[in-house]
Amino acid sequence: MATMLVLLALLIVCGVVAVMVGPSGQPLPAVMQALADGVRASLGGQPAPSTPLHTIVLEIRLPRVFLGCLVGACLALSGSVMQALFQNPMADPYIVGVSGGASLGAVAAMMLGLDVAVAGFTAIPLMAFAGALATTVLVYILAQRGGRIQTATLLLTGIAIGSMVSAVTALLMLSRDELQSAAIFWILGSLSGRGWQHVYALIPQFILALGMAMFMARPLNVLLMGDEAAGSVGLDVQRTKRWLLALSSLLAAAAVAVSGVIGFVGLIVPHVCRLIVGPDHRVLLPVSALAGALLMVLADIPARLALAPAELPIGIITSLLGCPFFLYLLHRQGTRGL
Amino acid sequence: MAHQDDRLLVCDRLHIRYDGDDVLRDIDLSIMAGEMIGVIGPNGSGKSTLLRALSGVLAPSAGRVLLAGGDVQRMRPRHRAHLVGVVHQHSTATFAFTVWDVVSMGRHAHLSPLKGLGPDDRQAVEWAMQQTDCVQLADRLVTELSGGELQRVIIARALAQQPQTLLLDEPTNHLDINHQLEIGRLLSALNRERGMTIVWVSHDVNLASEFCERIIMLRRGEILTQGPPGEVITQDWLSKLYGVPIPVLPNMLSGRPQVVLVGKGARA
Repeated sequence: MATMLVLLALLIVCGVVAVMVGPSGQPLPAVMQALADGVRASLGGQPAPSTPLHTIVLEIRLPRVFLGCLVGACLALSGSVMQALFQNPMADPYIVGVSGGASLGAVAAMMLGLDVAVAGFTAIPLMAFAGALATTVLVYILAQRGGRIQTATLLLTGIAIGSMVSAVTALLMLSRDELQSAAIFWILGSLSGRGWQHVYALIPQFILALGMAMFMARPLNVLLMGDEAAGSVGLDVQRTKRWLLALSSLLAAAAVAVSGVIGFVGLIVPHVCRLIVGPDHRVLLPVSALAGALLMVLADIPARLALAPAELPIGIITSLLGCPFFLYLLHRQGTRGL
Repeated sequence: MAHQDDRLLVCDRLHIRYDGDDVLRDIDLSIMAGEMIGVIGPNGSGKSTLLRALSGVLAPSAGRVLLAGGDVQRMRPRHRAHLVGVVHQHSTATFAFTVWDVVSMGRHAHLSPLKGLGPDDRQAVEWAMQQTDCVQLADRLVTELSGGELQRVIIARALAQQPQTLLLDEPTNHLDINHQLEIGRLLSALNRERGMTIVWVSHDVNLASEFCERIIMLRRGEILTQGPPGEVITQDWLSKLYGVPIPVLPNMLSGRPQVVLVGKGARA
């Protein structure tokens, strides 16, 4: 409980800092005023003035911070669930083919140069989402044997299909020179150029994730005892695994569609949290979500500033920031309870 | 047939084939409510497989297993958990839950999705831990327990579940003699006082003989014989079961037949 409150407080502080900081170097009090105007406007007061400052703070930075929180939370939750499902410390949200499928969808969209817009989304996120889901469904179907899913089979099938899909993506990228840097940038993950519609798009997934955290925390704990023991205390193991797989794939697919393949968050954040708060998912899930959100918000600051006005893919930052911390924790505590 | 509703566990021509091997062959078995059964036999005789078939974890290749009249394979796990609890042979603790957490998981089938443990549930968990001498371990992490302590915790988890039947696969393997006897007495008490049906797979013939009222002898996937210890734990039957002469004498203190270990040089 204490950990959750600390993380929440940190998150709010860092969120505010992230909004205040930026390459265009706006003065602090002006930014705070813009924020206040925006809050007042959203609470039904008079609309905020549309000065460049307000646009930067309210239409560019603020949604970006919110998006970072949601993406980070979704990835961390998805990673926690995958790790419990597969009981494998190397499991991450993308393990059943989500990242491969999303990349393929995005690169295909770039190649085809489609000029689609559905609910404010262009072709790239739409096709990335479709690609991610299609790949997951394919992996799931191929991994079935007599109506049952063995986690080892699912894992290997996911890796195999993921590799195959990555190869096709690479092929597409090589075929068009001008695609390459855009594709790479997208794949490495970024929050740049995303606005409020992306935030709104992730909200249903986030509510789904909250529901999952509430209903599935105890079944997740029971699953950790092993399939046979879980079955004997009354858990419907096959059905629970199917639900968990579907929900966490959906979360990962949504996050990737919106922000590209941001690595590390879904893999390491759950581990770090488990080392700190233990394996009980009733605590682990909310803490992971908050920690994931925090990591993304923090990582986005150097992503925007380090090479300003150019942007660094955020996936690079999350790995650079997160790895040393994880190694430190690992060194101190070992793999106990991993 | 009379008393058909008393037959809690039934194997109806149960046949299990694994990797081309007939592990259990056409087993017909009835276990009445309230019985305390010991299943003995050499390694590979199919004891563990029988238990896994009874608990529903292993699907039959042919035949059926019935629990309170219903096919165990068609039962919803939640319903099945009220009828049958299982203590497996090898327990590993990979995740750092506390003993209390692990024993509480036994209440899973009694809990509704959003609510936590109610007073009844807590009472069941506490009782289970008292019965298995685990109360002082409540806040310890299961990853730090000895093999024997962990096994008692796993038994406590099955007890917290409060099923009608308890299936145990070599539950006392890692335990010191004092705990072996404690568990034996606990199971007897549960059977006598709460009417819990117990099926206890054991390597240890003497434990089975001492505590169980009916012994089932499995050999190579078939029931060799079954009956009360007095009739079945005999030199004759044990020699058939294990293929070597095994002397049996009545336990001086309880009267139950006990295997006597004789070293080199003494005659059987």
